[in-house]
Amino acid sequence: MLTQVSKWRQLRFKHWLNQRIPAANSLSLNKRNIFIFPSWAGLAYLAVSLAIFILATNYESNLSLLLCYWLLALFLILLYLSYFNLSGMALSASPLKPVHVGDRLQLEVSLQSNKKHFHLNWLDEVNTQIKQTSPGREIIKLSWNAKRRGNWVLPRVKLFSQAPSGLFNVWTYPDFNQQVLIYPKLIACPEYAFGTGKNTTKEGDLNQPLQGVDFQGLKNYQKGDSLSRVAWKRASFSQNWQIKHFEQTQDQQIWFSIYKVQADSIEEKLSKLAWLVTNAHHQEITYGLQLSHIELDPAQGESHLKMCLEQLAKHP
Amino acid sequence: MDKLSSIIINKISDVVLGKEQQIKLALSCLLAKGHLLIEDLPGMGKTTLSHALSAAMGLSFSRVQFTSDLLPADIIGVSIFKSDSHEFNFHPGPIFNQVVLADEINRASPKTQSALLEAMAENQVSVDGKTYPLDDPFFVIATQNPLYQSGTYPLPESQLDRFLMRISLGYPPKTAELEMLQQVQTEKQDYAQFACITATELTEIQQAVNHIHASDSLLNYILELVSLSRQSSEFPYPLSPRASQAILQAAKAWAFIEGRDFVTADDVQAIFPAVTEHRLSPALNAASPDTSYSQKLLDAVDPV
Amino acid sequence: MKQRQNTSEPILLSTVLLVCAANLVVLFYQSLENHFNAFFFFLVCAAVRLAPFFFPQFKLKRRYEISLFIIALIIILTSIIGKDILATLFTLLVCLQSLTILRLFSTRELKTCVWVLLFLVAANLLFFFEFQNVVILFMAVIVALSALINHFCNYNIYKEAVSRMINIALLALPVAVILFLVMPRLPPLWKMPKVESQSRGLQDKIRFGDIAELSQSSNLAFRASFDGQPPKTSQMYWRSFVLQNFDGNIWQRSEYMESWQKLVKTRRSGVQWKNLQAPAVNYQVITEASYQNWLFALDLATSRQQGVISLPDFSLYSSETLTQKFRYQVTSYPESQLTDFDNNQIKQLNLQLPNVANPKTEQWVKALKQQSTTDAELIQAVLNYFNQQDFYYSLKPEVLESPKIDDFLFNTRTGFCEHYAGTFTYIMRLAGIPARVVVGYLGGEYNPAGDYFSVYQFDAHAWAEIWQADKGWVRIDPTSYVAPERVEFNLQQAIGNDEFLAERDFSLFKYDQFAAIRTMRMLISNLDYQWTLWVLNYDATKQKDLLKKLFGETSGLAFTLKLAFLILGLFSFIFVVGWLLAHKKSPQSQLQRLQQKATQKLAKKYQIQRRQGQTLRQLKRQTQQHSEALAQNWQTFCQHFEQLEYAPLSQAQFKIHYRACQQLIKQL
Repeated sequence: MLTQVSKWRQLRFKHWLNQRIPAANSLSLNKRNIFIFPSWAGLAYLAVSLAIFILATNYESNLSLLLCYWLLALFLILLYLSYFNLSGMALSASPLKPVHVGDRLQLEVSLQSNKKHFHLNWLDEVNTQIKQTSPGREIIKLSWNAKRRGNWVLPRVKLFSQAPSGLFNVWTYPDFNQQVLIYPKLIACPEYAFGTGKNTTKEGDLNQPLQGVDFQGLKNYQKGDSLSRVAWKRASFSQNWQIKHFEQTQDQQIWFSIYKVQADSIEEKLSKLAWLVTNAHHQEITYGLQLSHIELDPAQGESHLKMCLEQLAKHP
Repeated sequence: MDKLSSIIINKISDVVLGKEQQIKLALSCLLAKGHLLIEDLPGMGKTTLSHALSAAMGLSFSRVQFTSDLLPADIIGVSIFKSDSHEFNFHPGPIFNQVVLADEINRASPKTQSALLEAMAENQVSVDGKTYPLDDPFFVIATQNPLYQSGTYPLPESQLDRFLMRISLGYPPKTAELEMLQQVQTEKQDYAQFACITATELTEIQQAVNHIHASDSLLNYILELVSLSRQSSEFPYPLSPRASQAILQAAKAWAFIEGRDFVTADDVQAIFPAVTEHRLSPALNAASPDTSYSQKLLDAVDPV
Repeated sequence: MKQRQNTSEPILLSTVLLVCAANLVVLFYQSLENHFNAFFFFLVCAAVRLAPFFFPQFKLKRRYEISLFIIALIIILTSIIGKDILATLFTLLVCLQSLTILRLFSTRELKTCVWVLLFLVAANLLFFFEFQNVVILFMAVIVALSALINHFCNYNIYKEAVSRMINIALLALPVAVILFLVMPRLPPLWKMPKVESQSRGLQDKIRFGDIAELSQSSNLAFRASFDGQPPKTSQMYWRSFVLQNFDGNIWQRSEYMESWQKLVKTRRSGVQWKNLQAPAVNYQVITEASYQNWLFALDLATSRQQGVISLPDFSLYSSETLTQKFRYQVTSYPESQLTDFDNNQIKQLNLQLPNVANPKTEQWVKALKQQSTTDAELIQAVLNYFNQQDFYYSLKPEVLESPKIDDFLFNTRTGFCEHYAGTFTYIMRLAGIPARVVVGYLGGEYNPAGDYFSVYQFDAHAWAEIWQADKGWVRIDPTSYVAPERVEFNLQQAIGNDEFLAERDFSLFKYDQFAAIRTMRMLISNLDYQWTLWVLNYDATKQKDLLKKLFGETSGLAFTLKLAFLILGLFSFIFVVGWLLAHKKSPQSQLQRLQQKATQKLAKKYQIQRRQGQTLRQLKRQTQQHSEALAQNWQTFCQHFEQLEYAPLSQAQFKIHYRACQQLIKQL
C-alpha cells in the first residue's frame, strides 16, 4: 500500500516535472525551471540568526539586533544571487554516440552564458563538477557507464549549485531528450575471423569457413591461432610451428552467423559477433551477418558496420 | 584603397570567369602574407588564377610542375663548379620568384615537398652552407589533385598548417562557361599590361592590412570558435594558436578588400572555411558533403 | 578553470586565512572580557592549521592533536571555577571554535566555524558598542562570510571574495537599517544572567590618590546635551555619589545610605523633592557602561524617567546596573536649597570621625575654633590656609604616612582634589560642622558640532558639602582655593600638559594644541555621540516617535497599509539592486540589448528567425523576401551596428551610431 502511494507520488512528480521542464535538446535556465531552497547550512544560518535575535531581545542590545537584521537581509540578497548564479545559462546537448557495453557513454553539454557561473555540479555517474565558468561557451562532458545492451534513454540530469554562499540549493532537472543504442561488448574470437558460414538449414549453399581465400604463405605460430591451420608437415621438421596464412581476395565475401558461433549464452554470442564484424570492417573484408531475426547481405563500409552493430544491439 | 582592390578583382575576373569569391579569397591570402593551397581537379583554372594574380600585382611568376622524380635542387637551385674561375657559382632555381606556383605538390617526394615548405616558413634557402634570402613579397600557390591518389604523397598535417588558406575553385557557373567558350576563339591572354600595382605598393598594402582594427568582441568571437574546436570531441584536430592568428590576419585582409578599416564577424565568417577546413580535417576529401567541420563551428557560435 | 573531483573539495589557503582573520578579531575581543588563555589556544590552533600550506611536509601527530584537545578541556574547566556562567559559555565557544579551525578540512567545518563566529560577534556586541569597535566587528563578519563565498566560488583571490562580499553587505545595510527602525520591539523574553564586568570609572570607596589615578584615563565618562542655555562649565559640578564614612584612610558610603540604595532597588522609587525653585535646566545625559548604578547630574536633579531614582543625598541612582550606554532625561534646579527631610540623623552621620587620631590637626582645629567666632569665619580661615600656605595641586601626590591627615596638612602638602575635599571635610567635622565628601565630575568639553558636553574620566572631581541650618547643604570646593584654574578651565590647564595623561603618549588629548588634531578628535567624538544617540539608544519610544513623524499615526488601517507598502518597497529594492548586481552593465551588454531588440522585432513582425551563428548582415537576404525597403533599412542598421561593435569609436561617435540604431529599430 505504502509503496503504491509513493509510486503514485513519484508519477505525479514526474508528470509535474514534464510539464514544468519539457524534454528538449536545449534549455535556457529561468525562473520556470530553476528550483531553489535553503540548504541545511541555510537553515543553520537562520537558526543562528534566531539565536542572535533572542540574545539581542533579552539583553536589549540594539547592536545585536542590528546584526540579526543585517544577517537576514544578507540571506535575502544571497537568495537572489544564488538564483542568478544559474539563471541566464543556456544548455544544449549534442547527440550521444553509440558505445559498447562497458564503455562510457559521454554526453557533451555546451553551456552558454554572458556571465560567470560558479560551482556547478552535475549528478551523473562521476559527479562532474565545474568550479567556475567564464562568460562565453563552455563544453562539459557527462558520462555514464554503459551497462546493458540495447536502447538507452538518457535520464533527467540534475544540475545543482550552492554558490555563492552555500546557503541555498539551486537546482534544475533538464531532460535532454536523448537516446542511444548500446552495442554488445566486444569479445575477441580470432578463430572465426574468416567467417563462420551461413546456417545451412535455411539455404542450400554451404560456404566453407576458408572458402574464397588464397594461400599466401607461412607465418610464425602465435598463441590463439587456430590449430587447424598449423602447417603440420613443416612442424615435423622445424623447431617453430608455423601456420598457413590466407589472404582474403577483394571480391570474396564471408558470412558471420549467430547459429555457427559457439558460446555459453546468447549475449556472449552477440559479443563475439560484434567483435567479428568490427574486425572484418577494419580488415576491409566484405561480410554479411546472419541473426535470428534478420539477415544482412554482405557489404562493406561504415554504414554497413553501423547497421550490423545496431542489429546486434537490438537483438531480442 | 578599396577601389584598388576592386580594380584588381575585376581584372582577374576577366580571366577567371565566375569565381569572384575565390579570387577575393586568394587576394586576401596574398594581402595577409600567407600561402595558398588550391585543391581541385585539373583544368579548373588554377594556373590561370595564380598567373593572373601575380601579373595583377606586378610580381614575377614561375611555375614548377611537381613530379615524383623532382629533386629539391630543381626548385631551390644548384651550385655549379666553374672551371675557369675555380669556384662554385649558385644558379638560383624557380623558387627565386615572387610568386611560385607549385603544381600538383603531392606528386613530389616528401623530401622535395619539405624543401619547398621550409623555404616558405623561413623566407630563405640554404645551399652548401650559404643562405640566400627569397624575394620580398614571396607567395606560394600550391595545387593538389584531390582525386587520383595512387603514387602521391599527401601533405602531412604539420605542413598543411603552413598554408594560410585552402580553397577549391569548382566548376564555373553555366553563363561563365559559355563566356569562356566564346573567349577561347580570341588570342591568348597577354599578361604584360595586366599590372595594377607594383611590388612596393603591395608591401605598403600589406602593412595597411596589419593596422586594421579588430575590436575585443571580435577577438572574443575568434577565440570562442577556436576554443570550441578544442573542447568538443566532435573535432578530431583542434585548431592551434597559429590557426587563430591566421583567422585574424585573413579576416583583416578580407576587411581591407571590403573597404573597411575594421574587422567584422562577417569577415571572419567569409574566410573561416578557407582558413580552417584543412586544419580541421587534414585528410584529403574527408569533409563530408553535407556539413563541413568549419561550418559546424560557425553554426555553433553566435557572433558578438 | 575546470576541475573534476568526486570527493568534497579541499579548503583553500585563502579561505583558511579569511576564517582565521575573522576569528582573530572576534576572539580577541572576546578575550578582553574574559581571559586570554582561550585566545592563545586559538592562536596555536590557527598556526597548526596554517602550517601545512607553508611547510608541505608538516603533519600533526595524533598524540599532539589529542593533547590539544586536553588543553582545551583544561581551559574550559578552569573557566568554570570562579566565573559566572556566561563567561564559561563563551570560553567553551572559543575553545570549540579553535578546535574547529584545527580540523578545518571540509565544507561542513567551515560552515560551523562561520555560524559560531556570527554568534560570538553578537555576544561581543553586548560589551563593545563604541562605533569603531562595532565597525571592526562587522568587518569581521564580512570577512568570515567572504570565506564562505571564497570557498564556494573558488575565487582563490581573497581580495575578489572580500570585495564581492562588501558589495553584498553594503546592499544589505539599508534593508537592515529599515528593519531595525520599523520592526516592533519585543520585551525581554526571559531573565538572562547579567552581563558582568569590572566596574569602570569612579568607585564608591575613595582612598587618597584614587581619583588622581583615575585622572590618568582619557576615557569618556558621559555626555550631556542641554535643551537651553547650558550653565558655565565652572558651575558644572556633576554629582555622582556622596561619601560619609571615614576611617582615617578610606572614604565610603554610610550603612544608612546603603540601606537606601537597597530599598530603591526593590521599590524602584526614590525621594520626591518639594520646594523646587525655578529656573529649571533641562538636559539629557548618556552615560558609558560603568557596570555601576550611579548616575550623574547637576544639583538639584530630578528625573521622571523610569529606573532613575533620587536618593536622599541628592544623587541619582539607576535601578539597573549600567551594562550599556544609558540615556536619561534630567531636570535640575540650581537655585534650590539642598535640605534634607531627616535632619537629625543626617547630621549625626556627617559628624562621624575615624578611630585613628590626627593629633596635630586636632590641635590646629581647636586653635582655629577658639580664634573664630562663627562657622563662616572658621571655614574661611581653613580655606585661606589652603590658599596661602604652599599647597600644591598634583596628579602624582606622595603616598601619605599614617596619620594621613596630619601628614598631608603639615608635611607633604601635595595632593589632588580628594586630598583637599577629604581633609576639609575632616576638619569641618572636627569643628562640629556636619560635612561630607561629594564625588563626581567637574566641567566638560563642549563639542560645537554635536552641541553637547563630553565629560572624561580625567574630569573626575571630589568636593565637600557642609550642613548649615539656614541654607541646608552648601557646596565648598577647597580645590578651587589651591588651583583655581582647575575650576575655571580644566585639568589640563591646572597641571600643565606634561603631567596631563603622562602615561598615555598616544592620547589625542595630548596634542590638542594642534587645531587639526583637535578638530579630528571632536569629529570622531561627535560621530560616536550620534551613533550612541541614534543606534545604541534607539528604543520602542524612539521608534514610536519616528513612525509618528513618518506616517502621522501609529495605528489603524492606513498605518498598516503604509508600513506594508514600505516593506514591499524594501523587497523590490533588494530585488532590483540584486538584479543589477547580477547583470552588471557594460557597453557590451548595451549593444547586446540593441541586437536582441532588432532580432526580436524581425522575428515578431516578419517571422524572420535568426539561426545560431548567423550574423546580422546575413539576415538581409530574408528581409529582401519581404520588401526592398525593409532590406534597405536593415542594411543601414547593420552598418551602424557594425561601427558600434567593431570599429574604434570616440564617445561622441558611439552616441551618434547608437542613436541611429535605435531610430532604425523603430522604423523596421
